[in-house]
Amino acid sequence: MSNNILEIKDLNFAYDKNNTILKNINFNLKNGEFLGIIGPNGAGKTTLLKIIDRILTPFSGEIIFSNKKIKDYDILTFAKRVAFATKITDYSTKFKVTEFLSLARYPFLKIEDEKYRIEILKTVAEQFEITNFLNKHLNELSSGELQRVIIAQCIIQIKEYTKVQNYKNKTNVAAISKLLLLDEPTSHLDISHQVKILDLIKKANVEDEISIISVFHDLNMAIEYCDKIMLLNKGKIIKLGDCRNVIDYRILEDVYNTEVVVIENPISKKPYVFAVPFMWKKDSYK
Amino acid sequence: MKKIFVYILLICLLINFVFSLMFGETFLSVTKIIDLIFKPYENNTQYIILSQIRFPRTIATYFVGAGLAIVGCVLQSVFLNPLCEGYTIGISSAAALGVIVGFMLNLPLGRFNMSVLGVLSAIGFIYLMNSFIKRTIDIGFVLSGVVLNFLFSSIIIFLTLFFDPYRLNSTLLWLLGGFSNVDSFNVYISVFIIGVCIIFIIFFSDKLDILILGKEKAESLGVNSEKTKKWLIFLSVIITTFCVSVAGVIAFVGIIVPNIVKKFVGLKHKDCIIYSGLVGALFISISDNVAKNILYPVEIPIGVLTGILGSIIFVFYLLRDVK
Repeated sequence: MSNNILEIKDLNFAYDKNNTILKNINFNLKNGEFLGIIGPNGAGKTTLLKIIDRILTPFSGEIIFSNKKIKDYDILTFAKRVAFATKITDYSTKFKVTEFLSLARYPFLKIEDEKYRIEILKTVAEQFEITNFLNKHLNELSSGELQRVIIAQCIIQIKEYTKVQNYKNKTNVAAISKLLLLDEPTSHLDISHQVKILDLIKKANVEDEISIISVFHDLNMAIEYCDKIMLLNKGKIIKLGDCRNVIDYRILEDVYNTEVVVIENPISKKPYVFAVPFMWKKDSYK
Repeated sequence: MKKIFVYILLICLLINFVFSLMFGETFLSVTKIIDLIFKPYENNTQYIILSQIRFPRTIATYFVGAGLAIVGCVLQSVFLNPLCEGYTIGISSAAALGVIVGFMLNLPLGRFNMSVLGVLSAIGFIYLMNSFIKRTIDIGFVLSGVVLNFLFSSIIIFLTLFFDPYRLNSTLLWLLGGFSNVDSFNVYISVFIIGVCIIFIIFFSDKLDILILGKEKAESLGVNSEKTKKWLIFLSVIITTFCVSVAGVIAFVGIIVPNIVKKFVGLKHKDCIIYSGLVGALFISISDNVAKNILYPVEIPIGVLTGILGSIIFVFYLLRDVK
């Protein structure tokens, strides 16, 4: 039995015939890994996440989630294992935070009792430090708080309905492997909230053994937090692997069409990327 | 806490029920009604008034009110738009067109048959819209509903040109909405169908909660959103059509009632649907009582009355929201 939670083979996707979004995507994700997807706008990052969560059906190719094709999963079983943090609709902002969080237990609705649901809600709320505003409405929260609530909802969705200890005895670890998909979890947030949210996500990744695939716009955040980085451009994987291999100024300049400088981060010793504004470019003097 | 309100509403409905049986062209006292219920004389005029007119009429107001309010509540969540209801997205007009065509063809079995025609025309209309847009069910659906609403209304007006004066009058009164000429057979069948559909919708309430998180989140949580939406729209079409066949086009109820209810009970659909149903029933029934008694012997079409009452209530509600 392989150690991979996700295997993608020859994936192709197009919204219509002339307009291919993803071409020949091949990669594996190990159980418990944190993969960051980076790339310019329109590279197909979000589309890839949607395909993995079965929201979009691929044109061709195979996606295997813990040793079974995703299209063979029962819709509720799949929902118990894979969660996708999406932007919330305007209409749902009238929900209270508790109501919003408890909706995530929908896949378990018929098999678990109210008591256990409340228990899970409490644990995750403490984990994500949102206990103070559980009774507020979503539209009263700041964007940092809201983002924490959205991610907490996803964690609640994939929490096991019986105590995890019972499962640890089983040899088949893949049976309880969980996957969390995040689409730019830190956009529109200030740096303190960015760090806070990513710390919480990393904690869930390490402690709860949840595998994570996340789309990032901020390259440096992706480099700091992810085990592996995938660089996507025009629907193709340009590079995939450890951040030191992927983050190369020649590749980045080519993909993003911008002059960048890569230095070493003095604290983590990982690469650090910054873009060079026009006025500092040598050519601009001409 | 919340259960108390359900009981209060139920008691209000009961009191209103008795009032509706008492008042009308001829006044029937409570003792008289009880007397008539336990010792029915088939040929007694008062008994006929009670059993053939007032009882079916009151039942009709309750179920039409509940049906319209619940449809509003459901469609608002399906389209994520607080201004949706059977009227604004055009189901009412499509159903009315079907009923008018039924009028013209002089079908047997009265209005029931026509309402079946109405359902067919409304479903045909939804299908038409779906193939027009060729996309998922979203805001485009609502907009094309508004456009087709105008189209159907115009066709209805065009068709009424060919009616003789007597039928024109009764048709127009029915179009504006009213319970003045309900016939008991149609009412009982329609009420039964509306009731069954409402029960189905209550079964869908958990899924409705998920639907308003948006299509992607719904799919991620294991709800097939397109399929669920189609079922809910189908049930809404049937409820709306039978409401139209009983009482004509009554606008506004489906917008006002659910919006105000949501303000108080929140977005959880199980509560929201039940409260919308009860409040809608009470609202329509009280409106009907006012409509038939306030300017006696003239009966105000209920659509006119709910339009006036509704817009006043809604403006107050909006103003309060602004502060």
